[in-house]
Amino acid sequence: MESIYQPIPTKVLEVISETPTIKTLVLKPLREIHFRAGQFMQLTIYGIGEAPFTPSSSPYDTKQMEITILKAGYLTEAVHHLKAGDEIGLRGPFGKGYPLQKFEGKEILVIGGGVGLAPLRALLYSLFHNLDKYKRVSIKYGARYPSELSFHRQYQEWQKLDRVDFECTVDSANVNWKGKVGLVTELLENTDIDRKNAYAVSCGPEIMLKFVTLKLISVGFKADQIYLSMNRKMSCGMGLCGRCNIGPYYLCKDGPDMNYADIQHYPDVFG
Amino acid sequence: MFLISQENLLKSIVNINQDFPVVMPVEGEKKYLLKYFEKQSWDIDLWSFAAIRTPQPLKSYYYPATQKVAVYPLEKKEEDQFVPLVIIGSKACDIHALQIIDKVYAQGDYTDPYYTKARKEHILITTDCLEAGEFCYCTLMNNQPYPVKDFAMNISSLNGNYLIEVGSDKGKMTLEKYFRGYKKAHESQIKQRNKRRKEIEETVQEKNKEFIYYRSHQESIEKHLKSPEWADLCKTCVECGTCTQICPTCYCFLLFDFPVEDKFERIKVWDSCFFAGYSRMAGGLTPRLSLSERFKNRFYHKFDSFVTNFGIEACTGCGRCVEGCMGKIDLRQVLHELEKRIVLKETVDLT
Repeated sequence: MESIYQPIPTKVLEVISETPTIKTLVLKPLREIHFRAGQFMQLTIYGIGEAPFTPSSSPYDTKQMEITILKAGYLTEAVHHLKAGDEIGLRGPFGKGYPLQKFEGKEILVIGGGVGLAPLRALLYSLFHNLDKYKRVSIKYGARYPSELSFHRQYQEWQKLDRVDFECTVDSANVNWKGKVGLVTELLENTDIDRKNAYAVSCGPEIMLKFVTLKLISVGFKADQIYLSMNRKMSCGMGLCGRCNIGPYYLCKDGPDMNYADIQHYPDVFG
Repeated sequence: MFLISQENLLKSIVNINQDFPVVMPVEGEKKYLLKYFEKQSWDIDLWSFAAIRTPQPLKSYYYPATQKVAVYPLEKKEEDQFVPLVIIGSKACDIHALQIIDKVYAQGDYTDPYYTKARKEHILITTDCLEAGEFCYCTLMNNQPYPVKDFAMNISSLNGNYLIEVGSDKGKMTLEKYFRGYKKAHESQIKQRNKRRKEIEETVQEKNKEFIYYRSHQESIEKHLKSPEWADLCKTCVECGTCTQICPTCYCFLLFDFPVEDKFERIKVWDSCFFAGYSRMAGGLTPRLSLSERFKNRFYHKFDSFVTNFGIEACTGCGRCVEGCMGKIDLRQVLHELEKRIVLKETVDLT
């Protein structure tokens, strides 16, 4: 019987240390996995279990996949012990992914917090792949400390792209930090983004999503212009196991990136 | 429709049990209990025509409490160990529960291969209820105490004999292959069966007459989505999870991995939305931290979001959750209270 619960054996090609608590796994699954930006994978650590992660690499790179993971619990602790040559399992992709067609011709405001930039990186690659389809891509990124900014090596290359701007901030800085200090919401206060003709996409911890949403609304965004990458515990990834709902929506099959207008009236949206 | 004597019916069941393991109710001290019998192990002395549903739901035979769903890393495919069963004596509410589970496990984008296989292969020989159980309320959930569809065969008791209704091709084949000594039923016998059915249906209705609802449960819950009333409604709940484990329509599970020799196994194990750990994430964030949030979610899921997503309520009215609850929480009463409190609030708002 073909089991939908069976992981695909996957080689770890490389482990990149992004920050002291964030690592990127470069992975090669036994068979090619095609995903759309925003779709997620169930990653198995052999004998320990599974957890959902959105790839951080380009959906156009089908030979290998990158997944960027913050050490936050039991399974992710094991992820951080992986080395090149180890084998893990992957299942998926699951979820809807971002509505890229809807984004065409619009200004896209991409707001990341901490490791939340990882899933957004897959989106950025998708947007960059057809950059002429979008009016503008504006990236706002915040982390707690300068040492916790992931994908540092790529900021310059992103900034150089036409119609792309990048800005980052840290909550708390050391003496060597020359950039902005403050919460990521502060970067949203005086943007020149055309609010009537834009979509905002955000991923990060729930508390950040909450304040980003409130800020976006206060600067003139409508609820249906906001996409949030929501967090809930998932087990199956396929809408069967029952636990990842916000109202009638199951994040695994209806999300995990949800239009704020769809979920705003349900209780406990932000935990 | 056919008529069969008790003697011939029991012989036919023995015939079936030659080829299939059977799952049947047996008479326990106070209740009918659902039991599994290996091939050639059922005996006619064990026969009992269960008057009402057993306390155990059917779901364990369609998705067991723990089930191995993967072995990895996979080198070669495992032998298929599925065994088809003949399930005898299930009631209308049991069948209705499977129809509800079908929506999730068998009719979406992803289907559970084990469930769909069991659904396809198991043969269901259902029976009519003979009385209204102490906790039964199928009529409140737009059901009735006799199966009307989705069975291979249905058996109704009739003055010491039994009426057989064939409900599918598989039922027809089972009848022809294993049943002996049956003959065509008279119109008057069918009429008699229908009259008895009506009487029992009315007994269930009579028993539940204090719970007449004037609004949809979906409306009652929708209006209480952000209300604090839930804490009051669940104040005797001890979070044991019985209601979810015993509910024939609860299907939540967790995938759990562990090492076995040089391989790893993944099991699918029943979970309960009443447990805090059910939704707890890495780092400790738990979206439904309080019991009342979890209690509300169960009702919300069964009577609101399930209706939004699938067009039906996820409750059969079998009353197992009422029977099993040590906090004496009665689902009928909760729905009743929700409705009452809306009406009360509306009246206050008006004045």
